[in-house]
Parts: sequence; structure tokens; C-alpha cells
Amino acid sequence: MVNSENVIVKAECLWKRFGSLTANECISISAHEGEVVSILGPNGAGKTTLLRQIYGELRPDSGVVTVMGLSPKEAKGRGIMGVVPQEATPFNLLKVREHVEMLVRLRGVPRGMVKGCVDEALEAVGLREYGGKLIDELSGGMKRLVLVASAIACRPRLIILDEPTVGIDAQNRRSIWNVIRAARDEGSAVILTTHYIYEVEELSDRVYLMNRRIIMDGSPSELRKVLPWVEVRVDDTGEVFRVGWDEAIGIIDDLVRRRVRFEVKEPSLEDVFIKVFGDPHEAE
Amino acid sequence: MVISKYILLSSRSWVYAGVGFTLIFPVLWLTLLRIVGNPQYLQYFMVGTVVNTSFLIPFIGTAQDMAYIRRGSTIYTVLFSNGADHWDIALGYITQTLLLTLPSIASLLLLSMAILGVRYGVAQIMTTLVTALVIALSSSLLGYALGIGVRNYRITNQVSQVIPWPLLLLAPVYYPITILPQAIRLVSLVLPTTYMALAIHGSLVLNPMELIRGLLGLLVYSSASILIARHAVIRGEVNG
Repeated sequence: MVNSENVIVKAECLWKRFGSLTANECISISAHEGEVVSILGPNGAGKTTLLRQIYGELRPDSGVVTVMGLSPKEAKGRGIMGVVPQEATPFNLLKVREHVEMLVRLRGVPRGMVKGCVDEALEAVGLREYGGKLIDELSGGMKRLVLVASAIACRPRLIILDEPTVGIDAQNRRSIWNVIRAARDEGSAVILTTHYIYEVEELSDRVYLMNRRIIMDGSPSELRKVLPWVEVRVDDTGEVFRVGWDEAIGIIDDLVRRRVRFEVKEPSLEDVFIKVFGDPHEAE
Repeated sequence: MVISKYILLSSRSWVYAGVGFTLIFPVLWLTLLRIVGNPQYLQYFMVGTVVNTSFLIPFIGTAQDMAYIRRGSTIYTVLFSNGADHWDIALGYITQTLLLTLPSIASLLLLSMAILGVRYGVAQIMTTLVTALVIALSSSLLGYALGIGVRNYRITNQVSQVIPWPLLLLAPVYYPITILPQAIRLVSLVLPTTYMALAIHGSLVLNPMELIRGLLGLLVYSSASILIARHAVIRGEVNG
């Protein structure tokens, strides 16, 4: 349930410039308890810069970030956040269990709870049997899983995942999705960035489309409604009709009468993404 | 202090290099100096070897580790974003170097009696141990400032290996300042290793004035390192 009382993160008109480059232009976003919020945008859109301000690694030039009413630094100090930064690498010289345990302890979890949290997190991402293994000996995908396990262990109130599934195979990606859903169901707010748009459709309650500034936001279904067409694809001839629903009904009616096989496809979030940010191939 | 435990655990991966640089090489060096060195500088060979051991690894190790975790990878961000403060991370690395240096210096002092034939009392050994720890701390801070202050970690990796040699050769570390040419004597006055050698010599001969002069010099360098590191942290928060 989203209301102003259960807001976990609130960013108000954040500006961030690096020299002459403006990375964030008056960005305002929020994430609530039990909500998965995705931030989508092309490369260089300023998504990671925004997240770095939320977890306190960067200071905004202007604007305010609060996490449960606290500054990012205070929130970090109270163990509210679990984070997988972009292109993150774990501490390779530790064993898997030690890494998860370290981040759990950094978040100030009482000693008595640490072992249970670590076991649960390793189980959730399927790394239980690798607990005693040196991280350096794991594959790249498994190293990402170590980071995800470390971030979600003990269910911090805010989980920030900056492209957590890069380089991860389909099965392990599903494990991460399940972990994200479980965290949301238990009341954590999850902020996610990814370039896999179907992942956003699968997981998100709310999506922000940004390119230095927020261009639009809403639930995936609300965003899909931006495109007022439906695609009718005729299997035998390969013909594609991209038309409004009224016209599509006529085409479908005709295809049914002629007993021709066809499929109907509504716009996806990827279509919205291409519409909003442009198709680089069309530009060429 | 949570982080110190895990940074220390990570050091098991380079235990052989650690033992080599902090114990085996210094012992071999001391043995070599005993055989080929001028006997009247015996005391300075000991001072030089203790300074070398308590300065070199804390400085190079901290500089290269910090450069790698901060600039060459995202380990620093992982630690920072999940609850560690900048100073927690610094303290973790400094604690690691102190804990690794202490047994080496203690062993070195005991072995030196057999190798050089010198005799040290309990007071001399204890004072020298504490002074060596202060040197390791100061060297770690210098390394931390270098590692966190320079953006290109490859430059830090190279510079941190080059810097120690002029610091050890242009300062009166292995020999008395009186044998240095006048121009180099002046240069040596601005080198931290000069004050490290003063402090260790003061500890070994139990000369409080020499010890205090050495420690005051180290205090200046440590304070400068803290200011540089603080500036680098703030610059990082503003400029990324």
C-alpha cells in the first residue's frame, strides 16, 4: 500500500553536475515500503549518479535525499540500506560466507542474528554449498550472487540494486527475481536499475524513465498505455498491422473468418522505451 | 572495527609475501650488512632494518590496497554503501598493517642480537616496538593518503614502489647523517624516514630527546596525511 507515511526514500529536485556535464536535472523520485521501483534510461542517463546520491557516496549540488526521514549517511549508519553498486566486485580474498557476514555486521545486525541471516541469504541465491569457498575462485555470475546475498541478508528496509543481473544466467536471474519479490513482500523498498526491460516488467510496481531528468513515471501497465496501438501479426504471410484497437478488431474479425493463424501483441515496455528515447538504428 | 577483522582475514592470501618482506628479507639484509658492512655503523644497520621493515610494507601495502579497492575495483563502494564509513575502512587497513608488523619487528629485534651480536634490554625492546608501531601507523597514513588521493590507481601502484627508495637512501637511515654530503643532509631534513630513523635510534639507545624529535616529525607527516586523505574524501563526494 503506497501512501506518504510509508515512504522509505524521497529525493527532491536533485541536481548533480560534473564540470560542464549535467548528470541529474531536478530529479524527484520516491520509493515506498513493499515497493519495487525501477529506473530505466539509456546509457549515460545519470541513473547510477542518482543512486550514488541516494546511498550517500555523492553529494547532490542541490536538492535533498532522505531515507526514512534520515540523511543517507545517518541511514547507512543505522543499517537501513543494502546495496549492490554498478559493476561491483566483491572482496575476492574473502570466503563467500565471510563476505555476506561482513556486510551484515557492517549494517549493525546483532551478533545473535548474523548466522541465521547469512544462512538464509546464501540459501535464497543458491550459494549455500559455496559458503566456505574463496570468492576469487567463483565465476563472474556467482560473484554477482554473492553481492546480492550480501545486500539482501537480514532484509534491510531499503535495497538498492544497480544492474544486479548483468552476466548472470537465466536460472540464477530467476533466483534474484525471487529474492527481490520476497524482499518486497516482507516490506523492503527495492530500487532497481537494469538494461533488461522484461526484468522491469516482471518485477516493478513503479518505473521511472529518465534521461538526466525524469521523463515519465508510472506502473508498467500505465506506461504501456502511452502507446495507443496493438500489433496483429499474420503467421502465414508475415504481415504486421500496427493499428488502434478499433481497427485491430476489424482485422482480427477478418482473419478469424478466413481461418488464418495470427497473433496479437500489445505494446511492451521496450516499445515505450524505444518511443521515448528513440531507436538508434532509425537515427542512422 | 568490524571491517578490520575481514581485512585481516583477506591478508591470508599473501601471507608468504608478508612473511618474506617483513621477516625473511630483513634478516637476510641484516646478515649481509653484518658480513660486508663497516662494523662502526652496526647500530645504524639495526636502525635502518627496523625502519625499512616498519615503513616499507605498511606504506606500499596500504597505498596499493587502497588504490585498488577505491579506484581499481568497486570494493570500496560495496563497503561504503553497505554501512562502512571512510574512516572505518582506513582504520581497517591501518590495523591490519599494525598487526602484521608487530610480530615481525619483535622477531627482528630478538634475531638481531644473534646476528649482530648486540645486546638490548627489555626497556629498549619495548620502546623500539612501540616506536616501530608508530612508524607503521604513520607510514600507513602516508600510503592511505597516496592511495585515496590519486585517481589513477596504476600511477599509485608504480609511485608507491618508487617513493620508498629515495626515502630510504637519501635519509640517514642505514648510516649517520654525518657521512651524507651537505646538500643531501638538507634534503634529508624534509624526508619522513629521517624522523623514523631518529625515533628508532632514540629508542634503541634510550635517548628521550632524539626519540621525541623523531616522533614530532612523524606527527607532522601523519597530520598532513590525514588532511590530504580528508580532502580526497570530500573531493570524491563532490566530483565522483
